[in-house]
Amino acid sequence: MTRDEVYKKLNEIFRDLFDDGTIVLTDKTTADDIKGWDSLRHITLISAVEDEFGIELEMKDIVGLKNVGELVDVIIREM
Amino acid sequence: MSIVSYKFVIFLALLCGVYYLVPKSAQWIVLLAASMVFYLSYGVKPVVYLLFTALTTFAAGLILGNINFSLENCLKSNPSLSREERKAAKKAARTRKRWVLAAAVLCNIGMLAAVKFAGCLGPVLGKLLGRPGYGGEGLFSWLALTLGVSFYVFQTVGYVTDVYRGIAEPCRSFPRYLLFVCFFPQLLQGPISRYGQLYPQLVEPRDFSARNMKFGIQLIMWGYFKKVVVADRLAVMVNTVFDRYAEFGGAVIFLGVMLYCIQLYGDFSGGIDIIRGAAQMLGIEMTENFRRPYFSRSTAEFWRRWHISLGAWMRDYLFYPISRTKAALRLGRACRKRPGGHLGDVLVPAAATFIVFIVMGIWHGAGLNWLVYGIWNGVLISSSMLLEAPFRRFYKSAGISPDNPMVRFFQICRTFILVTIGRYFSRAESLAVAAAMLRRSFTAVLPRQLLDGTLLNLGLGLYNMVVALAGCVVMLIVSILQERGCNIRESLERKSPGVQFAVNFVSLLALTLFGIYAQGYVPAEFVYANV
Repeated sequence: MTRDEVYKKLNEIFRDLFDDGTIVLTDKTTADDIKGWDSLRHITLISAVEDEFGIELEMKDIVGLKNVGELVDVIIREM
Repeated sequence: MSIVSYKFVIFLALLCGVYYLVPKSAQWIVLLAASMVFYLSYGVKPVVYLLFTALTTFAAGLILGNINFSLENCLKSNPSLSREERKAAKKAARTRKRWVLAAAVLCNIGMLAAVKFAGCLGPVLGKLLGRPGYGGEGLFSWLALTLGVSFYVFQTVGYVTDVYRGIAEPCRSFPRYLLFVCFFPQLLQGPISRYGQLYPQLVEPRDFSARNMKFGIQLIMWGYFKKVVVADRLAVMVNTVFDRYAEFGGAVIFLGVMLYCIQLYGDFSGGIDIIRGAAQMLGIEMTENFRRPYFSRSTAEFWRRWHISLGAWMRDYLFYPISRTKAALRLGRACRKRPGGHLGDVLVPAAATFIVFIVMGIWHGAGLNWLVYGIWNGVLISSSMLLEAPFRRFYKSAGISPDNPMVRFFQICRTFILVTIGRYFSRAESLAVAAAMLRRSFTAVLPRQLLDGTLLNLGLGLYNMVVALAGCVVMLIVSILQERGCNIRESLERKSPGVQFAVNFVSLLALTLFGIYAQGYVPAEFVYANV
């Protein structure tokens, strides 16, 4: 799967989870850019990403992610 | 030695002098020696507990690091391994690591639980042995709660877990690791630092910086202001209300609890400012622990702004692991497949949050009142998560913007009231007293007591009440400026030397004139020093 394809799916996940159809993710997007993306929602987001891409993330990836770009890197690595 | 004492000021001044004069390679040794001297000033027993934690977690970190290293070597030197074989190798390593992590965590959390609940164990044992009145003398007295144990146990368990997860490399020098555990500013009341953030700063050489020295002293002065001008004054009124609550109506009781909220903030955040200021004088940045919590619009936001390092620790080492158990993942998937699938998105985090706050309540103290405190906060946050979507739909259908200033003001006041109700349980000496005070607050309000002079008989007198009120106004103004993004110390630095001198001089004068330093005064013990 290409990086663009990953972003296409991630945008859908984020828009559904945060109920905001205007979300457009980039490598530099962080939790500060998305209203409601706190630690409580983060765990739900991770579960949704794992289900969508058929992967299992390690705790160090869940805790240490700094931005969406790193999340995409991890997804591509695990796929 | 208390950090609100002349001894501490002299200790810090001497330490800074020696720290910047010794060869840079020896700076960390000076910090370690100073930290041990500081902790030994509280007695030898606390040091024994601290060394136990330091040794067990240091050893665990080394073993975990070796397992990580062996796995990495195995995978690198066998690039032809299939995906399944790589997974199997990782799984085997993970199983070995789990045993080591479990042993380290159980030893230290077990010790923490033992010292926290030692006071309860004696009477329970007495009942079992048919010896009413037995308080555990001679058996459990050595387990008495020791200074700062909650903070350094959490800090070291965090370190061991980070090594387990592969986030941190293990420390291979016990003396340097001991410094990470016992760095004196954080010993009494945190913040709970992360190894990756604090350790490099402790062991790397530091150059003298006039800016750090100036900013550090200013932060210490601000901390002293909050503690000895505001918090210790309010403590007198708060103590009166809680000790003699049956004499007051609900209005005075509720006011007393609200004043306790301010006292606690001044006490705890003031102490943290002194700690962070002392560290900054040494060129070390410690993590922020408060971010204007009473401006929060929800209880969840409050706990992201209050005791930030504890909340972050609970999130990374308790909330995430609970949410990622197989049972939790299965439950989440099952809920998402049913109608109303969005409820499934929040059900598992809500349940995990509830558990975390029960643990958080018990971390503060062994009494039932602390358990209820944890349950209260857990219920508030979990229910707000479950009701978030319906509330969002309500605001939308009513045409109300959540960013409307009136809505924000309402949410801030509502959150403050909910936090205040929780404080009944955290401050009262028992659950029964908290319940009695809460009941009285709603059934025997007696609002006239707010205006008939009762408030002047709460131990402070008019002059000290005015000083306390003025102090609260100063704290509020500073908080509003900071909430709007203003960095007070950096803004002051840009002013002329004359203005800077005037502000610093007035600050020092205010501390000297208005700090509670009466003869024979013993500063009220920091609320969190014996958690």
